Amino acid sequence: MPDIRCSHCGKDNPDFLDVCQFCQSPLKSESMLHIGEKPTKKNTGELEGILPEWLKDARKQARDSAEEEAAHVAAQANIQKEGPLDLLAGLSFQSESADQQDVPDWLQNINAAAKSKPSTPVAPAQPETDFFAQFNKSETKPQSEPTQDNPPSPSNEPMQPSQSNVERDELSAWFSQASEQTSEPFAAGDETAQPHSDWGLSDQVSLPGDQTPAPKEAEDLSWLHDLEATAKGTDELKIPQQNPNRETGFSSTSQAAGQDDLSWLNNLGAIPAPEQPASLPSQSQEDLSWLDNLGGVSKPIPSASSEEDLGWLNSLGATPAQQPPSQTSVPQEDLGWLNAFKETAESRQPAPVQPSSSVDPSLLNNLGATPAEQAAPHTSESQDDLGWLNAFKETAESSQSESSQPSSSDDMSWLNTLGALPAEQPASQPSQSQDDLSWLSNLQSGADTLSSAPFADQTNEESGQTETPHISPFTPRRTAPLNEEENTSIPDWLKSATEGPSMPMGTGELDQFREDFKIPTQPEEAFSWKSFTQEAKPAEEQPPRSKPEPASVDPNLFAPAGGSSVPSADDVNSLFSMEMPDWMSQAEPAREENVAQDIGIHAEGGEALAPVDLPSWVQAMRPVEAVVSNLSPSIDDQPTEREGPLAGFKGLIPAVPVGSARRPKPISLKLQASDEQQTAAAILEQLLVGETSPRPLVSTPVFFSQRVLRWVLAGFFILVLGAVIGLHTEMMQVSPDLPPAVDAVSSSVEVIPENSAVLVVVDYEPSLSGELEAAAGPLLNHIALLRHPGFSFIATSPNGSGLVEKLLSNTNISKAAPTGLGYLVGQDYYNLGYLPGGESGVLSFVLAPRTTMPALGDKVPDVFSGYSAVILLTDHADSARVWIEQLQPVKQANPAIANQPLLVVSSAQAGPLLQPYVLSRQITGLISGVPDAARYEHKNNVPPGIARSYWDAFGVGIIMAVALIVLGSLWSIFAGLRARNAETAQG
Amino acid sequence: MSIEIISTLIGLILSLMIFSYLIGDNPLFRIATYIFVGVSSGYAAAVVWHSVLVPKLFSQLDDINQLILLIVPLILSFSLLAKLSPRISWIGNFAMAVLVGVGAAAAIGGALIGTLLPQAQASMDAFSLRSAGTSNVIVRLFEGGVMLSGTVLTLASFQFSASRAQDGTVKRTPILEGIAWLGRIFIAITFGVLFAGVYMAALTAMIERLSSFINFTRQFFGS
Amino acid sequence: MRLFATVLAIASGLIVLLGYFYPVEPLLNLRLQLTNWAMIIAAMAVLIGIYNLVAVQMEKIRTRQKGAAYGGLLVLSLIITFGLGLAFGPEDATVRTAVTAVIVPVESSLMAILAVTLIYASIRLFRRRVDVMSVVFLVVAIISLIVVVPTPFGPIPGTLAIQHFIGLFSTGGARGLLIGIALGSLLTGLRVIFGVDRPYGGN
Repeated sequence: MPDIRCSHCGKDNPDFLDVCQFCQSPLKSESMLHIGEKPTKKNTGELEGILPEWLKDARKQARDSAEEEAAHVAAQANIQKEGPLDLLAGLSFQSESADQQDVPDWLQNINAAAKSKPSTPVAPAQPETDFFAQFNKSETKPQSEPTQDNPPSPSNEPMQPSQSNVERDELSAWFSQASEQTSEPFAAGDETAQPHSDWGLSDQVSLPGDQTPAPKEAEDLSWLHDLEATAKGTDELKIPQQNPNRETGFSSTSQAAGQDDLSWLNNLGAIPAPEQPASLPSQSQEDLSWLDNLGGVSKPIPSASSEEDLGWLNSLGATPAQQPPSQTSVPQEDLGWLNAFKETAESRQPAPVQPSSSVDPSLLNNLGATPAEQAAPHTSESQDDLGWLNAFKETAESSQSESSQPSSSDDMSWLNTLGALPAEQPASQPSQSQDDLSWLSNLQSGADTLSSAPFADQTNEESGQTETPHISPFTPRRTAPLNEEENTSIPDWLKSATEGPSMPMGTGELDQFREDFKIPTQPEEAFSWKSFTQEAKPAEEQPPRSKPEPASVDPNLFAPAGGSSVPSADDVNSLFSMEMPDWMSQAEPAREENVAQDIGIHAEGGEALAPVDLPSWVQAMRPVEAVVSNLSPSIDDQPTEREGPLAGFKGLIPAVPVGSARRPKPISLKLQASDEQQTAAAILEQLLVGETSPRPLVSTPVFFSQRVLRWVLAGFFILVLGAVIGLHTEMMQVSPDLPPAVDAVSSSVEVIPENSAVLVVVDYEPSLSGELEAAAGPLLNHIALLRHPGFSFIATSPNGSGLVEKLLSNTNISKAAPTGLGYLVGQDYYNLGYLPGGESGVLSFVLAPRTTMPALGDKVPDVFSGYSAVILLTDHADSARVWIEQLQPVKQANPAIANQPLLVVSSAQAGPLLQPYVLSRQITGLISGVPDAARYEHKNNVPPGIARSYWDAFGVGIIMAVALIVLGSLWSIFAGLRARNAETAQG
Repeated sequence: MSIEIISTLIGLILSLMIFSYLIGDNPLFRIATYIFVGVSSGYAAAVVWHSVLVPKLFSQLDDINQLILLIVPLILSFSLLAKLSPRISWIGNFAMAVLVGVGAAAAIGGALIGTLLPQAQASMDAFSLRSAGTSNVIVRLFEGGVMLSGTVLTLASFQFSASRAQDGTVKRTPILEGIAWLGRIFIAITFGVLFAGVYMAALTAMIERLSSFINFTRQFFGS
Repeated sequence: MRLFATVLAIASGLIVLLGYFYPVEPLLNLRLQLTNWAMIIAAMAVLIGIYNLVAVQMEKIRTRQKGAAYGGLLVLSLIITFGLGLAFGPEDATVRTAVTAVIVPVESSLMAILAVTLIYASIRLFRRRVDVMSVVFLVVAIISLIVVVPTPFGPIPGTLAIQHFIGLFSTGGARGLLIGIALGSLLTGLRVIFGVDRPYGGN
């Protein structure tokens, strides 16, 4: 009667307790990982020496490759920074959205192979494509969708690299967020933490759905949610992430970590393969399109030929050399690679495990490519029918919806390995609304299969043991009662990992519990892997396992994650009334404790490691809550299904308390390639394929063409306008129709008193002096010719005062007759200079001009009403607004200047913003730009003719602009569509 | 060679140096811009000195009456020199306080009396039918409605107040969102017109530059 | 001292502001005096700003930073122009050459480049963004250009009507923008008057 001795108080406790019943100290906290927990980081360097050779080699390769990749990444860091990354281009065929071309940060760190290529400046060549993808995406997707957070894809224009980067960052924000969230998925107490937080990649995949409470899913990200659902279907996936050495997972910036993981997979050969199918839930038929894509991408896997980067994937799915020949001929469009996985799994499951085999990867490879004659039928089924995926999907969903049922998580992995079997198994289901619960049949069968252990079966078959149908959940807790004699070859770390619970409960205690939980016919028992056994027998009938082979790790690699309550033998027989595979028709595995005896691992010294001494990375490898607790509460205690077809039913899916006292089964290396990892591998594969496939580098031509376009535009403008100006043509007609505001200027000039003082505010910068001179020339000439006023020029910019002479000279006002009007400075016009202070200066000047500008003495009127008119020459609405605003109070306060005309000559760029002041009559008249000036000049027949001399060139420039904008815009649209089509064609 | 021709030639060379930016950023462009900044600053300093400080400050210091009035701005002006030293920059705060205070008051008065009230009045006057003929009533109402709508919707588009939804998101109400969208349409129209104006201004500047080139060439070569 | 600066700003602002609404003689005189002071201070601030520009460039030259040669060119041209301006005054023909030979050509050329840049940006607009606002913006811009384009056969018929029609919308939007700007100015000014904002260093 094994007990657990409390390390704190030293008292014995029943095996099923997690905490000491006397001192409440945790009993097995170190060896039992729960959802949300992180493995304890430990220094396991001393354990390195006891690792088996193949594991040492695998780790060494992982380290070497990690170092190489780190160096490689460092060498290409600059390139990656400069060029927009495009690692996700390989995923473009998964979605119509082209904005997936940008690679999220978390994906950039996944694999060195993927990381070594993004430096190609492909992204800058796809601005239009990105843009239109974003545009179309916005058209097709509701904004509330999480994927709408995907920012517009970067234009990647070389002219605006920063913007491109920003956009790319925004695009990756979603993923980055996911990555950040997965950084600590096991935070204690974090209920939102993913129970299946696994490798970083899987986390990325699963997080969106979690972060977004809304059930909406982006279409193109449905695969991510599928993966999420799958992730929730298994807890194994979190284990690598729990490993401190791999804690960062794919989301880590450490590329080596990911590489290390992948190396693991590489060395594990075909071990993870069986779980892959379950990782690809098929929510609906249309959802399977992404599977098609995946299949297409992963076609090279079974071929295992040339893609050196995909080598690990080859070994991940199946050992290439041992692949069934039919796999290589799988068309790309089907789920060939998935079938390969599944096929491998199926073929591997019945693989007879040689008890005498040592811990040898070659065995794993053999397992991965086992009997082709068994794999073939499964393959033919699965390639044509994806129903098996549906079955798994339901399983995943059920486990996802039932957070309290971690039991299915580990079971799912086994479910995956069963491939097409579930279709045959619903007949054995309890009769509960078969129509609606058809998926449950699959679920149950899958769960059963998950619980089952083909290799354990094999082991049990050899030992002739059968399972007791009434074994309570407490019985199989003991996963690996260690037989020191038989497990001397097992290293300590495995020994401790597979160490059975040290203290099964006393018989009396067990019986006490069994009475309550002996419910073999309850539906929840369908989850028991034992329900699939044809020869389930009471535990009492099981003879003790005689001689477990020392190398019992291999069977346990594929051992069930946990046993469960066992139905009666009749039920079991009824379940297996159909034709079963050989391995399933074999004797069902023995009691777990016997199984554990088979696989019990002892330290070299014959002393089993205590659970608390588990290395952290071994902790990470151990099934987290994978062991389904056999605590099968009564139906009343079971939760009621809230979602799915089982909604309203109670107890259909056994609720297993989180953190069950059930000990996990012996360490299972299959966890290193769980379905989530398979999914991650599939994504990586797509990335690699996308990156390894040749992509035209069009960024340089585009950049060059953009520059050329500017040169062409500039040259075109200069040549055409120069020619028109040089020819002095006057073929363009000037409209005699004056806009109301311009007409008001003409009218105002009429009322200006003869020889009065007119204030001219030079409120423009030298940059627009040409335009303002052309625009103001007709008005100034008109006034000068008509009323002969004395002009007072004041500037509100320091350089403005220097423009006065230029203005008067170019408008012929200061030129001598007969060319000009012969205005003389200090006599006919005054340059008051610069008026500083902005609004304060203007306010001061309108309050007291002479006081404000005392330099000219009495040449400046004492009050503002001394000016008969104010002409404001402005190039900016803001500066004009200052004058308008400050004049308004003065006009209101002083009736003498209430009717003082304020004539504004503005640049064309300021005219539209000054129109409201025209309508409010704060501006008496407005001449805006050359067009108004030309009309004014033409209408009033006044010199200097600058506007007219510009008019033809101006018209040609406008026509060119209209033509270029229209044609260019159309071309932009066409180019965008073409680029998008090209990308779509590229897949 | 007269100074006018020299200045025109210098201007032509500098213009070509600036135009070289169309090819790309280059030293010629930078030289021209740095020279421009230097000359512009120097000329502005000369203008400020001659146009403002001398006539308004230094030339009146000999008058004792004016000195009393000007002693304050004199001190305040020179206190600004303290801004050049971080340790005593606080001395310049008083001059800046006067400058900012007066400027703020001028801005308030100008904005309120010069823009807000007149523009609000103009928005209402747009519906005034007194000046409109009988046949122009509908047109007048339409025009007034369009402009009033543009004004209101544009202002509403800058309304960023929002309420917090149950899910924690801060969002404007759908009605306000729609109004803001319409306001952005008006803004887009306004900016479209402004864009055309900016282009016309730039085009005129280019024409002026090209005209100066051609005129100088003709003048220089006597054609 | 900070309090004194704040009081000075508020007091000067209130005096000037009250002058708008209570145009009594003492208040107007005081307001005029304050605005004159502000002008002088602003002029001095321009000089100090230019001095700061020179100091920065000189420091760049002294430390031989990148672009020091350009800085030297700037300082040299500045000193020459300022010296000539001080000596002869800004109205002198020689000093005015600085405007006609350097300032106007350079600024006008920069503005001329903008024409090409605007066309280029317009062409590229639909590559970067296609939405309602962009379409409206570009269509209105094109129409606004068309209505002013001259032809050898006279103006395009109906351009004035189109211009007037578009002007209704653009003027409405512009009025909204102006009112918004005015409201912003009002709020900013009031914050200064109330001492909430102290950009003069009063913290």
